[in-house]
Amino acid sequence: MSLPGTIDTTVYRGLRDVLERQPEITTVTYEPDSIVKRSLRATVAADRVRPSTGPADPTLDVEWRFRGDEQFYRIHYADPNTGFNCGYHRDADHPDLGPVHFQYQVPDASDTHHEASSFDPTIPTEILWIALEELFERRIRELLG
Amino acid sequence: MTDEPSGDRTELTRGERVRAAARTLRTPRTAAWVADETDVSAKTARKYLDQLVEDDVLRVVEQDGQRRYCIDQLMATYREIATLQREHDREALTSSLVSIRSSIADWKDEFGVDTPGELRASIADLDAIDEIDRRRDIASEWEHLADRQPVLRAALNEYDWASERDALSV
Repeated sequence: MSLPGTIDTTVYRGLRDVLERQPEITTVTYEPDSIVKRSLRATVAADRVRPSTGPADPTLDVEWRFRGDEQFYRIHYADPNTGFNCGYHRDADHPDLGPVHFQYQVPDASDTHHEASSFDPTIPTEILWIALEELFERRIRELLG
Repeated sequence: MTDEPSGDRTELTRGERVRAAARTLRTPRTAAWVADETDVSAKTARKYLDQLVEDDVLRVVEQDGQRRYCIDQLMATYREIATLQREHDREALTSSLVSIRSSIADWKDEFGVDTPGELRASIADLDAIDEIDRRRDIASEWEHLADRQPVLRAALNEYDWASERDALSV
């Protein structure tokens, strides 16, 4: 199911700035293209992730939506080499875990694990900035290390 | 005014952080609010926010006697139109607009409604979860495409004129 709310493409410009400053990320594009602009897709350099992966480059998808003052988002990393994927989601999928949850699926596991999460800032770029730091500095290393 | 937070952030990083955050100010916010969110001093936030006002990225509104900043939506839309004209040829823009129109026409036909709001309202009569989810997804996509339509049309309307202006600068 897609995220609730509507897209404000202006906001993607700020989010794109944050993605482009992340050392693991090489390119950032709009999905399905820069005309429709439904979401952002970043390409992650396989040799810059720890533990390293390859040969294919992982991806990081970012989608943001708004309903009034409420915001909904998905920041999701996926490694096509192993099937490992994880990300921070603010959607209506797991109300028992609160507004935001972190979910992951490790290689060769059939189940997706979900846990409660939260961010102190409310501004989208700061949420993304913190989420990227968490993903690349801690989460991926802990889950695959 | 507070001191800058300690840490290894450089002045450049602080500025970029405020600049990126500023592009998400959909509702008017004070410099102090932005400073708090981005973990910089109010003075630093104000400096970068005022620069963005000068660059026509943000505009200032006075609310409750306070100076607040928000995205200059008119300028953002003009920039968006210029980017579409510069990055895509007329055929690509036309093809995308035709595709959007076709999708919307198909949804109107399939569901017998004229707007995404009417499609959402039709969910109230359904029991099947899959169909409810499907209609929600389509209504959401319909709203997004309907937002993109006027921007695309504007880009196409003055495409030749814009291309001529663009050629003058190289």
